[in-house]
Amino acid sequence: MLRRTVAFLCLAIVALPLVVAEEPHSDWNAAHEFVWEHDFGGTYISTAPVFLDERLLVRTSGGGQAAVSSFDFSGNLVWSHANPNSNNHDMSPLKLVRQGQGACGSWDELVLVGWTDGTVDALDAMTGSLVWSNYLNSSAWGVTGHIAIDGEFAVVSSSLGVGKYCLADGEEQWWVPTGFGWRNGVSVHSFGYALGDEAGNLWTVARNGSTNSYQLDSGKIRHAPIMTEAGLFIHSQLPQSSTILVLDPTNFEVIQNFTSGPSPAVPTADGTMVLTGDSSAVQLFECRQSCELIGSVPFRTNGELGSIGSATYMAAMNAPNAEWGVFTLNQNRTFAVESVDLGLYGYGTAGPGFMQQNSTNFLAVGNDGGVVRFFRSLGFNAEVDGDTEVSEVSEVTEVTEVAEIVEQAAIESIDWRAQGFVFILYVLLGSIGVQFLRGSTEWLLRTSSLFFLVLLLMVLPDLSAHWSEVVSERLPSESVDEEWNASWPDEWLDTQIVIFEFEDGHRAVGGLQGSENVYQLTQAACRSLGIDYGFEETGLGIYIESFDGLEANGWEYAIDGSPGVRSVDSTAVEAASIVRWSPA
Amino acid sequence: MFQAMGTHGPNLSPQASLVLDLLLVATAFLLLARPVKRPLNEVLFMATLVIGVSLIRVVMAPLPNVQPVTVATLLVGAQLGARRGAAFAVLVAMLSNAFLGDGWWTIFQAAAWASIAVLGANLRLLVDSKLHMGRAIAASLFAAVWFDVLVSFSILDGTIGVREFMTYLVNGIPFDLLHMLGNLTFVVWAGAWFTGILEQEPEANDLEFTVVNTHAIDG
Repeated sequence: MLRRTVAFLCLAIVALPLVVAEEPHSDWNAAHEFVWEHDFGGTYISTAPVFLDERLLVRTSGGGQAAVSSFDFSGNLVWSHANPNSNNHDMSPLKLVRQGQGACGSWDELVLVGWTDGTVDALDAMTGSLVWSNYLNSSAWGVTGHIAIDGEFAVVSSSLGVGKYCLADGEEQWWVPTGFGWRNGVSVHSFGYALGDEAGNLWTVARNGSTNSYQLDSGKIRHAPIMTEAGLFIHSQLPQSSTILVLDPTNFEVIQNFTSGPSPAVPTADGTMVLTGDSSAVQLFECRQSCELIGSVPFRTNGELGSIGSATYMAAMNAPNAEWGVFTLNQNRTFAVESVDLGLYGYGTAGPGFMQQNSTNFLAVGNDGGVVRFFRSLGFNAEVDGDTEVSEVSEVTEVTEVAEIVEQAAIESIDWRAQGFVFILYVLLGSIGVQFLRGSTEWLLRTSSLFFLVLLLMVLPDLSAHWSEVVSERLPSESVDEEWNASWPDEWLDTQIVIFEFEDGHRAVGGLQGSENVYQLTQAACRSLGIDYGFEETGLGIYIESFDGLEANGWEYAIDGSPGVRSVDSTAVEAASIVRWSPA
Repeated sequence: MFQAMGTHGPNLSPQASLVLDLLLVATAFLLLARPVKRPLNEVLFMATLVIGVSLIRVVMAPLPNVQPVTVATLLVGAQLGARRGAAFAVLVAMLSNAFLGDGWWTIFQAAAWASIAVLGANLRLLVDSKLHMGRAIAASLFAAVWFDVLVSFSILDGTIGVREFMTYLVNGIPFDLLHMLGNLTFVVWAGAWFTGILEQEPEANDLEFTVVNTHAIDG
């Protein structure tokens, strides 16, 4: 009896991770239909597409295609506004402004665009024509943060400071210096404005332009601080982790402190809920009297997060060939993630564009491959454009079709390889129980050793990645600083630089911005220099095989003089990292 | 772990690679050489063993650090003696690396597996010609760590400091665990069977006895 009880308990304990690991199947694909896509080719989409009535605005950057493009709901290009002076890797989210008037005058519907050359443009949202443009004092990467609207003014941050501009004509009210910032978006509060910098300072700016700063000692602040009922919410970035802080809005002292994973995404608020993400998890906080962690699900996202309706959020998994995640908080207050295949493959950091109109949900998503895809929820009548109308479907037909699509999606979404492994594990688990009850030590040893071997093989990629993070955090390598080369142009200062060591000499490129990991940065460098590269996706991450066909005995990389110890897609880079590739 | 610091050690020129291979072959020849001529079936048996285990290693290469050769050398050393075990280790390292990638690290792999064969020959893993499972498991777990540490020395090419080397070793612990678990699985599943195959060959003590007798008669 004792043996049976022990066997049952052991099996229950060992089987628990398998049950928890099962990811709920998504029926999102079944409830939405793909309408159209546009491939910009050779550029990035790093910010969420924006809906404006029956127009979709998409921002692209990189590969010489820094532009904002407007499409109708049939996918036809309506207008496009380019900035040939952009330094590329523009990451300031597009900001829509409804028409209005103030002391400076009146304005029609505008879309505000911040560029990495330091300019901010106000475009007519319907025609794309330039209404006004202004330049902000900046260096390296210009405007990369969220633009805030405060009444008749736009509040815009650059890498060196923040300014206030009339929406009607762009006239500058003031510009004040703050700390050196990247994606340092501004938020509007009763006390004025708030933004962060790369040194971990929180800056508050009164409406007359006077500034104060508070050193939080918690890492880089790369998003617009969010005001919640519990206090000012900030997710700051440390070298191998991140910190979520809640600050008292009266004195900006830390009230709450949560430790989170590396490379945080831009958090988003939805009522009292705040969604955060990083390379290890997406977390949902409810902030009332204090911020309470409602739930956390494993996920890797490093860019924007977005809300797509009540208690539902969406984010791109920032990994090759990864799907998107739909995060929901159900009525039981259980936070869960579903994977959805949006037909976008490759890295992604842009959030979703979402609009609900006449009971129809419209969704647009883009990725680092420069592809934008447009979806619409099924089962509703929606006038798509002037010429096209979706035919009405009966309720019975609709239910039947949706059921069929759900079933088809369920079949297509099964990962047979993983299912096979899980099946083998269950068989071995059962065998372990049987051998234990039989008292056969030899076969118990055999089945359990095989069980744990298969289990370890399955978890090894994640285990080794996390282990490497811990090791590099606890045992930081003796960094040999990569020296600045006097022949490099000054424009490369404080930007990302990549050097390739070929037999016939070095090739270097700088002025790169916005890459989150070595792989993205290497891709950007190869694009700039016209270098072909070969890579292989392995269970442990991406392995760079060759540059310009040269395989040598493999290639090794170093970041700021320190040898890389993980796969290129798992290794984060800083805003001013120098990556050196050399043949082994 | 891959694409990391100095995973390849110093580069070898084609000439150096040739010298390395000749050195390994010569080492294996010396280890196998003895005063009396070996019967053909014994040579064929060793050749089959080397090819078979090398093939298994190549086939299992996609599984990171699951190394069937480690247990095989341990048991060959236990059953056939240190010299033949070491020769087996050197030949398997050479042959399998011809498919998986030859280089500076082959020396370290060959040396590490040879030392494991010597270990197997001296640990009394066989009791009454049967594999002592407890000792075999303990030896296989130790052998995994021993092999991984020895082979890690291959990254030292003059540019890696002590701290970086230690970091490299600590980084590899999950892979060491996998090697240990793989060894445990091989031993409990195939240890007794593999020892039984080897038993058809005369044990080291029998060989020495035969050699001594032959020389005594000749004398």
